[in-house]
Amino acid sequence: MTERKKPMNEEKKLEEIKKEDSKKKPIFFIVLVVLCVFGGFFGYFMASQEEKLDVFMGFFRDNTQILSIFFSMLLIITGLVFSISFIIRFKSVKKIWAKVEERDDNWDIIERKLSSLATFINFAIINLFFLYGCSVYNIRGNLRRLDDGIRILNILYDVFFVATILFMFVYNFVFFYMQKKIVDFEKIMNPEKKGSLYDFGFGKKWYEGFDEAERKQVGIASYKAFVIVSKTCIGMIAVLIFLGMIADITIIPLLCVCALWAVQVIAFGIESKRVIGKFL
Amino acid sequence: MSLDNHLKEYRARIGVNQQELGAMVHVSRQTISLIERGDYSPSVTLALKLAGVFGVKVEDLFEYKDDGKEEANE
Repeated sequence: MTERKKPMNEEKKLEEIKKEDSKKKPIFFIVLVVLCVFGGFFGYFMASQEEKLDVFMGFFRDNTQILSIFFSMLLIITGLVFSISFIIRFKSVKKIWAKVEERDDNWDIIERKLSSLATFINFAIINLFFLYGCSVYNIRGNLRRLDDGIRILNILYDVFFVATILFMFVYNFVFFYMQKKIVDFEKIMNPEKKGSLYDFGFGKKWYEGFDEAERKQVGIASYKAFVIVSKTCIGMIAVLIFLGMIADITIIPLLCVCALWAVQVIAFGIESKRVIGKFL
Repeated sequence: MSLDNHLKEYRARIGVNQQELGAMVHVSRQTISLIERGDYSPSVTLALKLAGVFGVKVEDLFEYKDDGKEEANE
């Protein structure tokens, strides 16, 4: 059986691919070797720090009650800081919007400010959930309490435990309200935008209101976010593997990061497949 | 490659702002602003809609110039 001759264009492309590969290949392998060497050194360094790491981990294991109080306080304070900061920044946006005659010139500035405010609130929500998780970490089967000699700590712990749950609800409501404020403002600025935050299908409705340029922007931003999250996952997996070798962190953190990465890759793959052949 | 346009001039001629023009062709104000600045090349449909609003040909509104550069994605 004779091999069919490749079309001219295909041969040209193959040559181009080879040329491009030969340019980048040496750097790729050099970086790989450097990373391996660095990994080796890092692993050796971590192993040499095993004792210190044990003390560090032990501190977290043995002082959950004090740490719970600390994280509760942090939750209350950071929530307050985020809320005040939002009010100030949102007021400044409204102030710019109020100048009716300069609206056309200031439009992009307002859009950028609103976008960064939305990111700010999302970060505040992540911070809230993280600190809440740390605060209630103590309440598990083997709840640790300091001996009766330090009663003040026990009282403080009880007070802050209740306060954490209370503030968790309050801040959740506050941050939701702030997100609503941003969405409502966007809707005032862009009347074609639809969707209520009270609607569970808000994301879909909001996306449906995007025109061609906005969809392109979302596509670019999503792809960049995909790349950044993938790289972050690789980095975190490497660190967790090293940590797992020398400290008792169990496989749960590794499982969480891998699950997150898998969800992202699978979701991106499915969605990419879905949009092939049809343009939104 | 770049797409020069005269959208701003034509918009001024009919006396509408970016938001009003956006509403006329069912896109956001931001998209009109991006096109005017040359940061976004509209689809054929949108280009035709815009030309229709001003009662001119697409070629009168947009001018294609091949400057040997690939179109940027952002």
